[in-house]
Amino acid sequence: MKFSHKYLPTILILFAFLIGAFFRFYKLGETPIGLYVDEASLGYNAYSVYKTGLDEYGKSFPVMFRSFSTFQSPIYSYLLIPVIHFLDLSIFSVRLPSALFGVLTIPLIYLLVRQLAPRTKYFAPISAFLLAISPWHINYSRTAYEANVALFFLLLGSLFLLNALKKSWFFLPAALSFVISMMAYRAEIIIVPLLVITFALRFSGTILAESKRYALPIFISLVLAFVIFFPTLQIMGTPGFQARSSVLNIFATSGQRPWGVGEGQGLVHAFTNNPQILAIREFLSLYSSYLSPRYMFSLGDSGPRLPYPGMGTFFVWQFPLYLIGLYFLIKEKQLKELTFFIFTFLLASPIPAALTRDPYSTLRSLPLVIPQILIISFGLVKLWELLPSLSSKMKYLVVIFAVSFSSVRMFISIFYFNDYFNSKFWNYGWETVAKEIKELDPRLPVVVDSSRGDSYILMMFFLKYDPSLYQRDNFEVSPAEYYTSLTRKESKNLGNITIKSIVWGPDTDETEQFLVADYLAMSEVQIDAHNLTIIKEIPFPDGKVALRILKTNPKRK
Amino acid sequence: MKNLIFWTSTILIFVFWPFSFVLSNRSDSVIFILAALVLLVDRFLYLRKYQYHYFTYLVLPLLHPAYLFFPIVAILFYWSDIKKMSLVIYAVFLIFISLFSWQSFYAYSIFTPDPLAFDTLNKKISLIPNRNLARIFHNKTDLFQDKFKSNVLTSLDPNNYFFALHPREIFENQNLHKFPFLAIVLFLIGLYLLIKSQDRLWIVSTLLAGIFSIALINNQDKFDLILYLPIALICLIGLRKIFTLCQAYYLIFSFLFLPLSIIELARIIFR
Repeated sequence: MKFSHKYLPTILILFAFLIGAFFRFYKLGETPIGLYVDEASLGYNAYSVYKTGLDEYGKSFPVMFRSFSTFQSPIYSYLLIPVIHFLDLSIFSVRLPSALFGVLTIPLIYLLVRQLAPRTKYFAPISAFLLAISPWHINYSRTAYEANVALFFLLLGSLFLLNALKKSWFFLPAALSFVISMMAYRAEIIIVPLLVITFALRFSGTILAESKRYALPIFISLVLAFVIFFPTLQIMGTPGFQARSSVLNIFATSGQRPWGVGEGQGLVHAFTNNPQILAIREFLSLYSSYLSPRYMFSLGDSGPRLPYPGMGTFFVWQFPLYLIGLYFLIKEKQLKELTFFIFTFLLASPIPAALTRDPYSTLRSLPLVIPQILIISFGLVKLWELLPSLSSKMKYLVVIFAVSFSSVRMFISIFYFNDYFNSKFWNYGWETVAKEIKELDPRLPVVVDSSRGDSYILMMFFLKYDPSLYQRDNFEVSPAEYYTSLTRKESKNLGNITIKSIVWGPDTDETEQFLVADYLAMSEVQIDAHNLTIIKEIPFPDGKVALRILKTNPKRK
Repeated sequence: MKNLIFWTSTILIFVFWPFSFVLSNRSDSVIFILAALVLLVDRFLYLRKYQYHYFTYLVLPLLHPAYLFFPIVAILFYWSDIKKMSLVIYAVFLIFISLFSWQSFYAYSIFTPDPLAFDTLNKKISLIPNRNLARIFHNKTDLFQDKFKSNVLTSLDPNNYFFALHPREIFENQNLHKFPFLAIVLFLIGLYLLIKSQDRLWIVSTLLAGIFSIALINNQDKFDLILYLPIALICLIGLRKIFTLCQAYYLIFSFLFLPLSIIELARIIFR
């Protein structure tokens, strides 16, 4: 065996780790430019708990973190506490756990494939490599989203579970990982039980045959999982926990519905537009979109911050590999474990996302990246075997060209295009506002407009505003009603800064103060009409005005 | 009874797309229906093992210049079986037709200038600091590549056929209900079994020729009716398979498929 062939898998996995780390860590605090409010909320609440033991609402170590009128899973914020301790509160530190777990997922997928298909030499390193350069996975590794951490623990749990049949005490870390995964992101609350039940059914024969060996570890694991997950279970029925899903789910009666539900009356309408049938149709439609090549290789997510400009969730050259991989996974009988794992993951992962109305939500269906990467990798391995007539050099050349070309294209898209085209969706400019506000005359009050989003959390984040002061001055909900009352306070006070919707007249003409607003709230015409002075304009990377700091002139008016 | 259920299901599969198409395009549907009928004629000739059946493809660009590439792509699948003389005649006819069709085809095609896309591309190029890098990774071919890729993948999207392109419908498209949504099960089974089907050459050749030829058109809406027959036949392969399985499978499937498809058909009619 040639030296290069012998060590190629090792070289490949090392290279995958390095390139994966590069795409996840390079300019992490700078790109995406700005900070999304959910990221700011995760970061500031962790900062608040770190400093005071209470979140921004004054709740001590919450089970779910209240974030505006919805709730965020707690794991990410708690993971951030040690990071903030060492690195302080910054965009980089908030995104660091996501990037770190993103990189750690690369060797994890390698180990998982080695476990599932030990005889295939190149399949595991190729899977790791393709995950390392996956635009979908990179996107969520470069931003503070809980889903990425949940995915890591989901895979870790799966790895332990697959090993548990050999070493029964592995059921314990498997249960622990799965519970952390469920507490890290809500989609996993549906996915994990599906995976565990399918696993139990698949290996029920083995487990029952050796019940004495497995009974105790399984029992202890289930008890452990129940105890850890119990606090979450307790709040699952509260309006707070259900706030987001009750609006977004496909069975919700509010909002616009597809295919004419509620658009007519009479017997014919009732017959042809039965809401239950249309909901099933909608579910199947949304579900199939997660497996559709159009979404995977072209459209991508419809969200404003996703995907990277000009890119789908996968590279287009991976499409034929996806088809080949799918075909051979169904056809080949000797890779039963692998096929079982991939198809269980593939079919279970889109379910939580397909229950919500958003089309092709890559966030809620993030675990899907794993089976789809595995299918593509398997397709590449099979294609390699199917083309014996081509020389090895030629095959290597084609693969290296495809990977290098798409990696450079992705690099350009992430580091040059994304900030230019998407900066407004990343709340660009608030960091500069926070710096500039410190330079303003401290005797005058400052009013920050919040009519288009929760700018208060961005201000608190970038000002590193003292959480104890914020909790003292901004009572919003009592700890007893933390999960049940969804009422919100219209304005927030951060010392001499008030964050609220600017009222034309009283705020612009009657008091001498500074105003901070975006380009839509304060146009040039309005600035002239209300005799405001522009103190500072903060432009987007494309040169258009993002935010303005203005000063009122009531006397001159 | 089994036969009755089978034929009712078959009719439901085949009736959907033409029905919703005619109801939505009363004025200008003739050309597209004729194009689909040309494929039907070709299929009869193919099944009767008529050697020169592929000459029927030459009718398509005559019906509409936008179909110009269909005969070019389709003939590639019969390349090994075609005699040299008939290939020459085919090519001469095609060149003759394209002389008249080319300009109209160009007007419909993805190659027509798109100022907005061009501006975005220029902006992208200007953002890349190295000009040579920009030329390699983002150049004018991006405009056609992106449209072509998007069109091909739209044609390959199961949601296009079974869910009227939901959840992200195409703005300028009619987003027709083309098949009953449960027929997606039949389609997937049919697709897997296609490789063993005796029909595979005709189905694959017309399907791919249809997909790649309409991928060159700016807006595929209506033109995609040319894909009706091959896709319906793939569903039929799946349906046949289900009816060869044990009784419980086809009874359960029919119990769900027939009422839901009739409800859907009623929605199309009463809308």
